[in-house]
Order: sequence, then C-alpha cells, then structure tokens
Amino acid sequence: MTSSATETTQIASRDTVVVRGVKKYFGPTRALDGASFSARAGEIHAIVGGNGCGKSTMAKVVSGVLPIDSGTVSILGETPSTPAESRALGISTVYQEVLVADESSIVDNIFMGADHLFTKTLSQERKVSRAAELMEELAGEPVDPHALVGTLPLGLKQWITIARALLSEPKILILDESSAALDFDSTERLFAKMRALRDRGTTILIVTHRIAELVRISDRATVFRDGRDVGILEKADITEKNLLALMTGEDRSGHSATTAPIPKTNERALKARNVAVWRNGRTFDFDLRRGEIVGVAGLDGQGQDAFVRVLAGVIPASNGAVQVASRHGTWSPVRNLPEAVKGKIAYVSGDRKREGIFASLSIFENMVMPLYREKKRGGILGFVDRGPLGTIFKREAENLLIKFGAKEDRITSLSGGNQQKVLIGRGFAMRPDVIILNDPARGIDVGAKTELYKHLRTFAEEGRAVIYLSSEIEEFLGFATRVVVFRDGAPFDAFDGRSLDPKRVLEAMFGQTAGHGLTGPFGLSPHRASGLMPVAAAGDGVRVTVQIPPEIKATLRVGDTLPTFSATPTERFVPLPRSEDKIASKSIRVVEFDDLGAKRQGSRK
Amino acid sequence: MSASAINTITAATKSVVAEAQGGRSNPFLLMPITLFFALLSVAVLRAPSLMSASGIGAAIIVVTPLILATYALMASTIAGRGTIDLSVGPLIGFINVTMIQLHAAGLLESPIPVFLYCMGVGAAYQLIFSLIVIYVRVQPIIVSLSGYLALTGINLVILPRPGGTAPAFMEEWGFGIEIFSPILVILLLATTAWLLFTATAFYTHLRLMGSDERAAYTSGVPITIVRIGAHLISGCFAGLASICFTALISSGDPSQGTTYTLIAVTALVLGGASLGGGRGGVFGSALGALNLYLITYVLSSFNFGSVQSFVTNLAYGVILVISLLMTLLIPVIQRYIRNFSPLLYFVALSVVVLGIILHATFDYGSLGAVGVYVPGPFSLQAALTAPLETASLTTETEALRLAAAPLVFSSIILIIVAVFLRLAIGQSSRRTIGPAVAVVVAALALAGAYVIAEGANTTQTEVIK
Repeated sequence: MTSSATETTQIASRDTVVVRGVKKYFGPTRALDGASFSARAGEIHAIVGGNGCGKSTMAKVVSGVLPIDSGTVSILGETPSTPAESRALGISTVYQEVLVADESSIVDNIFMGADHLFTKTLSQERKVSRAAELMEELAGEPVDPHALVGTLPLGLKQWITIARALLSEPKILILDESSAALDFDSTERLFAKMRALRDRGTTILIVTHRIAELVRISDRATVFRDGRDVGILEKADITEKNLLALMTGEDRSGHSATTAPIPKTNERALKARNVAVWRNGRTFDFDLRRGEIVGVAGLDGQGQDAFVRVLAGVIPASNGAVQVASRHGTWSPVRNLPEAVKGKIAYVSGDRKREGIFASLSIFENMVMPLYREKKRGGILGFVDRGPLGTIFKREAENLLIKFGAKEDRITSLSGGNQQKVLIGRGFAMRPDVIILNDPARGIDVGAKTELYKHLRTFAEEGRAVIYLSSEIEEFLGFATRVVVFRDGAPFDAFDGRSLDPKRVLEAMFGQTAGHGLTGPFGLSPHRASGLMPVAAAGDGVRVTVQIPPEIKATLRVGDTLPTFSATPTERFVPLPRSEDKIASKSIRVVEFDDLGAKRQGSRK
Repeated sequence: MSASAINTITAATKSVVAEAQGGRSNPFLLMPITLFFALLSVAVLRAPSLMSASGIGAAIIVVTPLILATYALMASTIAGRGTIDLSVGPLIGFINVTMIQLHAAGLLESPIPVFLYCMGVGAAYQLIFSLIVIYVRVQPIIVSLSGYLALTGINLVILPRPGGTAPAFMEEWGFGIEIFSPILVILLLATTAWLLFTATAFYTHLRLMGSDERAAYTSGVPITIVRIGAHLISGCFAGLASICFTALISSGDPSQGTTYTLIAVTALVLGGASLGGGRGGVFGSALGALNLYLITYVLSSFNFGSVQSFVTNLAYGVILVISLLMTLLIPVIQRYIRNFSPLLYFVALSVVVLGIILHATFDYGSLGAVGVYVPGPFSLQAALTAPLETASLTTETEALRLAAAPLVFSSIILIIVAVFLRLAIGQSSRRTIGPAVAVVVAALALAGAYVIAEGANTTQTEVIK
C-alpha cells in the first residue's frame, strides 16, 4: 500500500528530511526527475530501486555533495550545499565508494573532518582510545588505531567510513550501500547499531539494493524508478513482493514484435570451464552456441561486468579457462586480448570515454584502427593500405547509419550515440565470430538501438554469436535467445528469451527466484545439471555452502558430518571468501539443505 | 586472509599510548636512512676532513638552501593533486635578485625586514599559485611550469648578470668555518617549526586531503583553505631557502637558483615522499638533500677531471632509480617487520657509522697522517682506489686497531641492547619505546659532538692542495 499525500502532511512536524520535486541532470541523463520523499526522526527509511533509478544521487543531494537543478531540499529546516555545512547540521553520510585516505592512520581517517581548521576537538590520546574503542565495537576485533589505512582489507576500510559517520551521534545518518563490503556478522553488528541509533531519535536513510536486508531493518521505504519516487511503503507493507511490484512498475513500455534468433545448431562458439570471475568466487561453466544472442544482466557489481570481460580476454579469469572455437572446430584458449583477437572475438565497451574512443583521432581511424595490422602493405615498412579500409568503413558506417560530416573529422565532433556506433562498427569491422558488447546502448537513441538490434540479429543468424550485457532488462525482449542473471559473481538464474518476463529477470537480479533456469534446457552449469546440489554446512561456526553429488547427498541428513570430500574431482567447495583457510582441514557438519539456492541468500550474506 | 595485515592489540592494552606521528609502519624512510649512512661512511673514509669543524660547517652552509628548497617542495606536494612545484628554484632566484637589487637601492638593510620580505614574497607567489590551482582548476604542474619559465626570464631582466652584494649582516654567514652558524639556526628553526606544525589539526587535514581529496571534501574538511595554507607554508620555506642561498653566494645570481628545482625534486623523491600526496616529512626531505650533498662530496673525492659534473648528475640519476627500485622490497620487509621504526633503525646505523667516524678521525689524527694528493694527469687506478688521505700501515696502526676493538664491541652490544629492548617492549603491554630511543639518540648525539670537537682540536690533517 502506498501512503497518501495526506498522511505525509499529518506527520510533517516530525519530518527531518523533506525533499520536494528535485531534478538533477548530468548532461542529457536525468538522474533525478522530480523526486520527492520525506523521512522522520527515529525511523530507518529505505530508498530502493533498480540500477540507475537515482537513489544514490538522492543520497548525495541530501548530504550536500551534489547541487540540484531545481526543487527543494529541507533538512532540519536548512538546505546544506556543501558537505561541511551538512556535517555541521548533524548529517553523517557513508558513501557508496569507500572514501578513505590510504596514507593516513586509522585515527586520522576516523576523525577526518571532525577537527576545526587549526584546533583539535579532542587530544590525540583521547582520539586514539576513542578510535580503538569504536573500531573494536564495530569491526568486532581489536585494531591498531595507528595502522596505515592503505594496508587494511576492504571490510575494515568500510568500517572506518562507518565509524567516521557514527563518531558524533548524527541527527541524520545516510548509508549508501554501506554493507556492500561487509560480511554476515558485520552486517548484523551494523544493524544492531542502527536500531540503537534509531531508538535515540536519529533519522537513518539507507540506500540499498539488497532487498532481504531492507525488509528486515527498515521502518519505511520509498521506491524510486527512473529518477522519480513511485511509492512509499510502511513497515507492514515492506515485503519483497510489494517492493518488486513498485520497482518494475505495471506499464513497461511496449516492445518490438520481433523474435529472438534461435540457434540452428548445437555447435558451440565459445566455452568457459570452471571459471570464476572473482578471486575465491564460485566457479561455473558457460557455453555459447553459434547463432545465439545471450543477454547478461545483474545488479551493479555482481560480477556480470567482469564475466563479459573475462570472455573477451580483457581481464584474466580467476579460475578455469575460456576457449574459443575456430571455424574448423578446433579450440584455442582465450587468456588475453591478443588471443581473443586471434580467436575472432570482438569487444565493444559502453564506457567509451575510458575504454573506447581515441578522442584526438578521426572517425575513420577510430573505426578501422584494429585492422591496420591486418591490412598493412610494404612488408617491413607496414604502410597502411587505405583502399580496402575505406570500403570497410563505408560498409559499417552505412550498416549502422552513422551520421557524420567527413570521415577525417575528430570522433569527438559526433554525438555520444554516434560515437558509440563507431565503436560498434569497429567491433564488426574485425569480422569477428563472437562479438561481446558491454552495455553498448548507454546513451544512444531508440532508432539507433533498433538498428543495432537488427544488425546483431543478422550477425547471429549468419552463424555467429553475440553476448550482450545490459543494465536495462527491456533491451532483451524479443532480442536475446536467453538471459543470464548474475549474482554474487556467478550466474544466479537463466531465462529463455522467447518467454522472457522482465519482472522475473528483475526478481532474479534481487535474488528472489529459485534459480530453476540454470537446470533447464538453457542450462549454464553442468555441475548442477549433472546433479551436484548445494548444501549449506558449517564447521567451527563457519558457514559455508558446498556442492556435492546427489548420490552422496541422498545419504545425508541434517547433523551429519560430510564424508571425505576428495571422492570425486568435479566437486568443489564454495566457501565464503574469508573462511577458506578455516574449513580446509576441518570436518563439515550439515546444517541445512539448500537445494536450489533460494535460501542461500540469507546464509551467504 | 588479509587479517595478517592488521596489527592486533590485546584487549588488555586498550589504553594505547600515542606514538610519534608518522612513525608507525612507515617503511619509506628505510632507503634514505640506509643511503645516508652508506654515503657518510664512504665520505669519512675517503676524506676524513669532512668531520672537522670547517668540514661540517661548510657542509651545512652548502646543504641548507637545498634542504629548505626541499621543504618548500614538500609542503605543497603533500597537498596532493600531483603538485610538484617546479618553480621553486626560480622563485629562490627571484627572491635573491630582488633582495639584492632592493639592498643596492638602500632598502632592506637589517635582518628583520629582509626575513619579512623574503618569506612574504615567497608566500605571495604561492598564494597566487594556489588560487590559480583552486579556482581556475589548472593542473598544478602546468602552473608551476609556467612559473618556472616566467620567473627564469624575470630574474634575468632584474639582474642580467651575477653581481651585487648581500646585506652586511649576512656577509659572514657564508664562511662556514664553524659548525654553529646562523644558517644552522635557520635550518633548525625551520625544521622545528614543521615538527610543531605536524602536531596541529591543520597538518592532519593537509595529509588527509593529499591522500584522498574526495574523502576529505565529503567529510567536511575545508579543502580550499587547507590547500592555500599548504602553499603559504611552502612559500615561507622558499623565502628561507633564498636567504640561505644569498648567504652562500654573498651576492645576487639570476640563474643559479634555477638549478635547485631539479635537485630539490630529486631530494624529495629520494627522501621517500609520495609525489601523489599525503606522505612526506622533514626527516625524509632533509635526508634526501643530505644524501645528494654526500653523493657530490664522495664523488669529488675521486678525480674525474673535466667530466666531474656529468658523473655527479649520472650518480644522482642512478641512485634515484635504484632507491625507487628498492622500495619494491618494502612489502617484502613489511611481511617480517610489521612496525618498522625509522628512529630505531637510524640509531642502530648511527652507532655503526659513529664507529667508522671515530676510526677515520682518531686513527689518522693520532698517527699524524698526511693527506696524499694525486698529482699529474688523470689516472683511473689512482682515482678509483687511492683515498685522498691515508695513514701508513705501521705497528702503531696495528696497536690502534687493537685499541679500537673494545669500541667496536661496545657498539655491537649497543645494537643488541636496542634490538632486545625493542623486542622485549614490543611483546609486553607497553607499545612504545619512544622515550628510551630518545634517550639513546640524545646520548649518541652528545657523544658525537664531543668526539667531533676533540677530533677538530687534535686533527691537523688538511688536504694539501
């Protein structure tokens, strides 16, 4: 149930944060497009939404980091415009990025900004003991307050940023994805601390995409979609179902009636075996068939981005191997970019500023540059033969409908969308067998998108294969043969493109589906398909999830100790990263069967 | 698991005693300290006259402008954004030539106006620098490069060729016959001022901002004011450097100051500062500058003839590269020594080197050895192996060696005691041995001063030229 406007005005007197019709544009992108919400004293208020819905932008607006284009922000009756002002008002923010000064000690980092310009608020001795206390309370282990922050693991750095925010009993505490680097126990400690603060009258705003956590901790939730608030849920109404319903919205824009290409053969173009994209991450297998378009989705930072880069040879896999098939059916490994180019894999990045365009070169050079080596002439002199390159340029430019003046113009003279098209053209110009696109549609208009889809479909129908990562699920409709959803650095679920329901994909992104797709006909992981089932287990108080063969599993009951694990070489531990060294030699007792990963959510984080 | 990187303390030691700032786990001083003592031992062995009142006095006069120029560079480099103030050399030259011209015009006679003028001009220049960096958002390196070029030209306009006289009060400053000179006082005051500054909140802000400006800004640190402050401090150091430089040359020189830029940058890097910001200090910077002086000194004890200056530059470069490569070893060292204490390391090495200095000073002195000058054309053999001053091998030398044995043993025992203390105290609940180390350092410094004074009285060794 969404709360009405009347209800909001009734309790307005207790509102500490009131945001009305805020708009914030970054160039053409509308990060916030008339968003409103309000939060009261003594509540934990969640701001939720999918990727790019503006929730982090809102957190930055409230904490005074970002100036707004229009609208009103009133926090305790004031409008802070710099972080220093908001700090003076009693607003503490923990940002999504772990902002610490690596060259300084833990004490200095915790007390960052607490001192006046020339005078200290506390003596150095008091600071040190306060920092030691606070860190021990939060991180659960004693920490040397003099240690340089640069030498600490990420989890502790995250605690430092949280300790900094909690230092001065804030009136308003904003936590932007602050539990991202924390493990299960740490998150529990953070929640306990948050509840204690709330009971003392602090307004706590949490920005998160971890629905399970949010349901447990928050008193009220405002759901954001496309830069607007789309509903407020009261404590009783905060359920996964209600949240997802609001996040997806009823009216997802209509779609092209085209259908996704269906591979004619079962011949594989690319295979990945036992790969893990993160260090100590779960391993999985992946096959890409010829004639297939595979959509890759996931929330930010769930490993999908690393996955497509691993397949493209941009970064090495943490475990296992990626192989690409030649036309003759022989397999060759893909460990780096030169091998990927040899294996005819093209990679197009959506982040064109950082890994795409050569800003000072011409449109022509930007598109055909990778072919210089191939089309060179004059033996050792290596002259560039511009004749055939011109033909290629013309073909790709026509295919993608790139609008440009002269091909010698600088690429920066083009609009963002056209620059992106040049990069996609560069990918096609290499005549690849597999093209991997990492969110290529960012910033390009609808017409160009449609052209791109058409082009990729033709490409797939010619017996080649496409991997397409996107942050917008709608892009996959009628386009992708199947969609793989990533979570925690591994495929979480997979869906058949012909009967794709964006809502189900979104649910999977938030970890709310059963993961049946992985075992279905479009299976990803033969480990599971062949019957290796996960079991949650614990040894020495350490909770791990392990996969074991069904025949062994059938003999197990809760409370049993697992039999020798080296029985078959295919099975593997999937421990939490922190506990690997602890379980290696210890026996593991079964505490829970967790067949299809539905409950794994709770135990893993 | 990376928990090994965390220094855990037991629950019993909750009342952690604050340690000297910047001491904990900062292994970047390892290289400058090692290099300093290596060079010092070579220097005193090759040319023991370094350890006489006039030798040390001359060294202080020559090295102080460089140390202060390095401080000036350090103050703005800590502020981050890759602020490497290339204009520090020409700025020193600018203050020098304007001061000389104003002095010639009859202004700036007494010390107080001179000091105020020099530090004021330095601070004013750096204020403009920082305002451009902050508000025009030009990269600091570009601003400093423009400053370098502009000031180099302006200096030549103001004073086309070297000349003029320094104010009367500083005429005797540049003689360098005695250890205790006004220049040393300036150096000590400047160093103390910085050390006092490190105890302030402003310094903490400065380091945090230099290490991560975004983190500092979002935490409410007033970064604009802090950046301006860092530049003002840098300007004051540049002014002091210019005074010492003027005392050194006793006149005005439009181009000599410019050479300080590159040497000061080298000294800064050699001293273990991070050009990225957030790390750096007077101890490292002074050591870096001293190292460069010692390199020059050691090389001048070899006879390279006309290529001397090229060899010196070559040596600067090679030692800088080697020293940077050696910092790659720091993670390896950190694996074994979690809390590297630069002070303890300094003490241990100074005990050893003090032994070497004692040997070089007393052995030669009591034997009445004379310096041997290698005349004639350049001979590689003579240049590379023959020290400038030698003692002939006689039975007396042998007797002296025997007499020195107890000294060597006692120095070894001192090191063992220091290491033992460190281990014992490190294992107990007390976390700091700062006071103990301070006592040892003070004792060593007093002993060193006594020895040098005695050595200066008894040694009549002078290089025969």
